[in-house]
Amino acid sequence: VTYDEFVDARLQALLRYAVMLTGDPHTAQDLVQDTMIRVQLKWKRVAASAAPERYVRRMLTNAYVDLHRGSWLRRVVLRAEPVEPPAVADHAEAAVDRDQMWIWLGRLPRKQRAALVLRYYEGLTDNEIAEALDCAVGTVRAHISRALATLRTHVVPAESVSGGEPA
Amino acid sequence: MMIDEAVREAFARHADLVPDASPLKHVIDSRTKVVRARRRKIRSVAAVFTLVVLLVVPMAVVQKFRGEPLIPGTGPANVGPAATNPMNLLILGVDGRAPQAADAILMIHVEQGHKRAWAVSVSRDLSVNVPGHEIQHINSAYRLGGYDLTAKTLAKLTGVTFDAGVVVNFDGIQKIVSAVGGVDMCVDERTVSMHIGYDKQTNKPKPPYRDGKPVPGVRPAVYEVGCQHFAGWQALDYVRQGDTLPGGQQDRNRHLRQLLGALVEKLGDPVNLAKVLPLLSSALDAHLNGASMADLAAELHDVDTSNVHGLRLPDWPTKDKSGTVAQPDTASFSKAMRDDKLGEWADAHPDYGN
Repeated sequence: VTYDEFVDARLQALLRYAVMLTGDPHTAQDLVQDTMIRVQLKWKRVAASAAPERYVRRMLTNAYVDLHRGSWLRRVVLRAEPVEPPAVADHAEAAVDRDQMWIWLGRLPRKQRAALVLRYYEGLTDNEIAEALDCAVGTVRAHISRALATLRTHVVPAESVSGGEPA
Repeated sequence: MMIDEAVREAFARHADLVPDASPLKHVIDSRTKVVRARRRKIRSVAAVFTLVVLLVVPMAVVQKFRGEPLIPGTGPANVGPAATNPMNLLILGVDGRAPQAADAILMIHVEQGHKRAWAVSVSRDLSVNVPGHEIQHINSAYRLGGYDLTAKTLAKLTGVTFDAGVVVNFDGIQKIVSAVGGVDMCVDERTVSMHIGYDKQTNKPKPPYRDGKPVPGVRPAVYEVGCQHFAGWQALDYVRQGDTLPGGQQDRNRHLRQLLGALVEKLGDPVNLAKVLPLLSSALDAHLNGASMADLAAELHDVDTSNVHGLRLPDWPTKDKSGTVAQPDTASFSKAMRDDKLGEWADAHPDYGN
């Protein structure tokens, strides 16, 4: 695979993945741009790996997880959202706002969010997620179940009111 | 609705946030060009700076005591127009712990114009006529007469004379690698350590080989294929291994060149370079044939470190496999090196590249 072929085939998907990670198209573009510059610089090594696509996804995921906490990303992300009280007190009101879910996704620790994106958006298996996050499969499951628990506590599902399903 | 369904829907709902990626492609390409150009510059500056530091600092100290200027100008660029004649350098790697035989022998040939350089590794078991000591393995020359005798032996074998050289102490290199926080290397073949191992029961460190034979009950350290981060001791252990590899000393020399490359990359960061400075005197011993360090650094500053090609000095294994001997290609190689025609020679003899 040449670098150009790879970009033509994968760039849009990578950008989509980055948007789901960051929740913000501008940050996502920066993230993809920085990652792809590094990919292009060390293309030989990337191409030599068993699966360039997985290698790059892992680089992008790492770059996302390593973005400085509380830095401009936070501010950009938070500014892009409607101003929200830190805890949602009124569940009835929350149910009306369906983007409640999106907001709470943005508040998750990054590894948890990345795990959710990889499972529920990219449709990866837990083993593949573990590889992308560079952690054990058990850790992946812990990330996901913690993330879902947080969401379950704070976000009331739009249609049903029952909150106790298994994850 | 299940919470995981809700999550899935939340992602799907925001798919329209994703912009078109095609403008991004051009941004990436043009930014990469900028970074690449900058990096190339930094790297060649780093290589020069490393060399300057290796060579100039000891001399500068000497000059200081003589009351002469510390360092002429601010760097190689101010030293005057660089000569572009071909140059030959000799790098010897010695193991600081063992009685000193040269474990690694590397000849560097810088071409006319200084745009390209060749790193030629010499098998340490090559049998040669060591002046004054008859036929010996070439690595013994270091024990018998140090850098000078090794250079003289190689000069006699190939007709090449060396403008300058340096003796690198592996212990010192390990300290340097540790000081920069380790290096990233790509292991190209599974490498089993003959030097570092662990007791299978207690997991305590224990040498896995004694007198060339595996010690039962000891699990040797293994470096698996793939790119990875090495701490100083791992990097050194990896590049020390030769006898356990299919290509023996050739493989080992290739690994050593990889380590030096990885190190140059690390030293591109001035912070790392600063950490390394105090360690240099213990790691390196420069031999300059009376040349001026600054001139040497100035001469080399055009060499692009990414344009250094690996070769090995042609040799044949001896019948009893105890070493190697010169062969017809050795002569044509030597002539090519003397005549600054290694590029043509390498094209005609692709087997010796790597």
